[in-house]
Amino acid sequence: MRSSLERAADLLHGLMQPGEAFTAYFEGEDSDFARLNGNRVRQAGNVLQQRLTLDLMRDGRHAQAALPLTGDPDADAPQLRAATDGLRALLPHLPPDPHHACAGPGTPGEDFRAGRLPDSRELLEVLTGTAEGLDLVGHCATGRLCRGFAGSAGQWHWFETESFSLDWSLYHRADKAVKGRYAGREWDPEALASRIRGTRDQLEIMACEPVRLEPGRYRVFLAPAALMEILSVIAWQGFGLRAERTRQTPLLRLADGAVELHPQVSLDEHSAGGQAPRFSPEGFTLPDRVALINGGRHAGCLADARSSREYGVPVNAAAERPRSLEMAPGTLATDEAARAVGDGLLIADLWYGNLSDRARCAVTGMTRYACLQVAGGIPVAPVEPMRFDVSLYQLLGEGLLGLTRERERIVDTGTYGQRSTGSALLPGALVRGFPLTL
Amino acid sequence: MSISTPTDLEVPARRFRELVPAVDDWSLRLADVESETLSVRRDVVEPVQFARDTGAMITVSDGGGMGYAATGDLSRAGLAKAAERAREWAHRAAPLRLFPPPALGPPAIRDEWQAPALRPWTELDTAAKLRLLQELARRMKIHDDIVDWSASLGFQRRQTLLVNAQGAEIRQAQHILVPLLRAVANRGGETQVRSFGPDRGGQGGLERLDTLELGAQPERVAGDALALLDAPDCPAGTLDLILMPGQMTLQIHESIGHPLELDRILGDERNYAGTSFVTPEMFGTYRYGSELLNVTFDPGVAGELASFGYDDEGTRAERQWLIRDGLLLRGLGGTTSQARSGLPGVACARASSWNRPPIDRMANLNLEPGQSSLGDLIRGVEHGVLMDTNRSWSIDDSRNKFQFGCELGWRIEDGELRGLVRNPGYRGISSAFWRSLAGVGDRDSLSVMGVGTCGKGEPNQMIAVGHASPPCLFRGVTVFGGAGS
Repeated sequence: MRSSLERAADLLHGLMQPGEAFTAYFEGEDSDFARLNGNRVRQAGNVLQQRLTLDLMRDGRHAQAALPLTGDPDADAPQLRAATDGLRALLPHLPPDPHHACAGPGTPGEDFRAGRLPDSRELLEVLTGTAEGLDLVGHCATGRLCRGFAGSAGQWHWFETESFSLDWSLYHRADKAVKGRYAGREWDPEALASRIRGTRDQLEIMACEPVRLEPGRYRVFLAPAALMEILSVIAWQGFGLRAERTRQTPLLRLADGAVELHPQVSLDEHSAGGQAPRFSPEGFTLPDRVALINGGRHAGCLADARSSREYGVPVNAAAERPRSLEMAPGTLATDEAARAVGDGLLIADLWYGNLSDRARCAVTGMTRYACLQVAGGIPVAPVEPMRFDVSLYQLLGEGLLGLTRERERIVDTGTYGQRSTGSALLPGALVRGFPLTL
Repeated sequence: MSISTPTDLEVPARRFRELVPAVDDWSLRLADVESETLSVRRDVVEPVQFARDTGAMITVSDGGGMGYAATGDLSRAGLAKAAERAREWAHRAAPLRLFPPPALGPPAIRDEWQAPALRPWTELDTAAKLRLLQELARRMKIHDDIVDWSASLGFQRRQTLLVNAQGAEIRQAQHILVPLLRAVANRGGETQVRSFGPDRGGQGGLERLDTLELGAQPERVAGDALALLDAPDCPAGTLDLILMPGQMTLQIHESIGHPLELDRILGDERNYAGTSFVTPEMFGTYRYGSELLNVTFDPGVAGELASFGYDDEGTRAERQWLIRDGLLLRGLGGTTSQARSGLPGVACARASSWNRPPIDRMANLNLEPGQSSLGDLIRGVEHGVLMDTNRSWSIDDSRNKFQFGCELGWRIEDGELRGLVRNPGYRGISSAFWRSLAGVGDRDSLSVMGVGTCGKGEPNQMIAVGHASPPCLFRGVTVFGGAGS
């Protein structure tokens, strides 16, 4: 795939006329996908795709064209020429763009993360073999992901990673299930088998008669995946500079200093620790870390290239949403979570979150998978799905009793258009007064 | 203008026929999608974005298994490589298959389907369309409290060609136009957003701008956002509720459309989008809603977002009743799901693009009009709220417990609208909610709208679906506003 971008950049260099410049952002993947239901394969196949977004610039004006690449120069060159000609003809009719920014010449960036990927046949055999007799529903994705950037001033970035992700549910019956995940770059069949056995063991309690809770406020432990669902809703507009300056962020009161979260709450965008490329589509190298919330107080925003020009700040993000969110740990031992809850709930996952009240930074959503009632520090029964509606200011403010010292890296298994490179490193949270509404 | 050469899909189809491997069955679905996005924000023209996306989805059935391979490389070598990968996957999946491979598409149908576009997108050049958007955006800045404002147009020209081993050749073409006006008002700690679109997206050309009366919207959109700053929060309590089409769209989508998808009922989606409270034995016997509830699957509505002649497995699209007089009759499932479940379905196996396999999707799912005018519905409410334009949605994985929020609402007292309220929301349970349906607007009150971003499937797929509905009245709903949630 690298050669696709190299050839495209070479061609584009030759197509430039005096006064013109270009940037080119490349996205590609060669991925195997397998979808399972009832521990059997429902759909499986391969997707090979490469895409280049060309931005042609002249006299402060610019426009973009995204094109599929095949890797075959004979097929790609006519498309690149046509795109360049089309954009060139358009530019005189556009006004200058005061918010346009792209990286200048700099040190070329190379980031190759080789992996040991599973053979697809072996992967399916381990997965279905270990789950034999169980109702496993899930999805496997494995393969190579590439991102690249080239510019007419000689700019160059390349990111390539070989990775896999498996995401499954083991069902007891109806909507009673436990969730399992296994992702990384170094395939270990025994690690997968061990995780499946772990989720299978959790199924035992799901066989107990489920409890129907009354709406009210509960003392709960939110596992990292559950906390991730809430933070991902907030992250939609909560950490971006544009949303803050236009007063749309749900964290407006925090940004204004009108409220503070618990002093244990610190959130960063930690690009250096994540799994996403360290450059933006405009070629800017991203900082290792951007503090978003520090000691419960608003600390900063993510600014993409356009916001950087509009608001006069440095670029620190590829987009104004976290891709490598990291939350500082606390001191609670994860093994002690049930005991720390005492009487309340252990919530492994939340689902389908959305903002319910922007001004209160309130999120609504549902419990899903292993949500367990805890009595005297012992999980006793699964809980029927319940709706929550909670303000982040309460959840991570006066409601927060502690964060775990262990953190879990949650890989974004999303595949809209292409496989995601996002991830988050989060602790679990012990919370009081968690509101369940329906 | 065009920034790249349209792909003649006949060429890769011919190439593939020449190299098709010796397999039990095969199909080839080719797609070429050209899109253009124009936007003006805070009076600044955002980067004009053109895009072309072209590729092939090859599905192979061989040795008792089925596999697919998608590729953007439509050369002879690229298609041959993809065919081999699909064949390898068929063999790999065979011993672990969930069900025997179905026939890949219809018998030797040769047909073409094209949605009408009366005024081509290219009738106005890019500069002229940007001038239009600049004017629309400028008219939204009506007050210092309008802090962000934008106007945009998205256009997509999509052509597909489906061929298979039986000799079928199905060509389809769609033109889709999606407008969006958006105004953000702020005073102190209070921010309110009002929009027009993107639920107004549909098929057609520039004539849709007139149909939608886009030129009449900017001051109204911004004026609503400003007025909401001063409005009280929506009252809380058990109240009667009128939902305008801008919210009915989402209500139909989440609590009728998704629960009726046969692949959910068959369990395919349980690891991602979820299951359904609907079970197979309910079809033909279950009372889904009051007798006023009538819902059709109708891919033939001119201009609606998901109109088509054939689905992506090549099944001819036909209008079908899913719910009639409140009784559940039929699910949303293509031929594969129908065969697996033994249940009646519709032509709804659709893929978001060439790089994803077809799954059961909604297409156009419409709530049929009743007999009441909007005025009749309002006059029938003693204490209640009218809500419009979805802004928040959440529902459980069985598609039962939901909570939705709207951009704005009006209090209703003694059969009259009595003032704007902000942050309106309501919650309920699907199976009970539709039985509280007490009034359905007439044909004059019906709006044809849609959802452009319906997510589902593994690997994930985002697709556009159409929903037409009149306003509807529901009795005794849990309603709230802002901090009352």
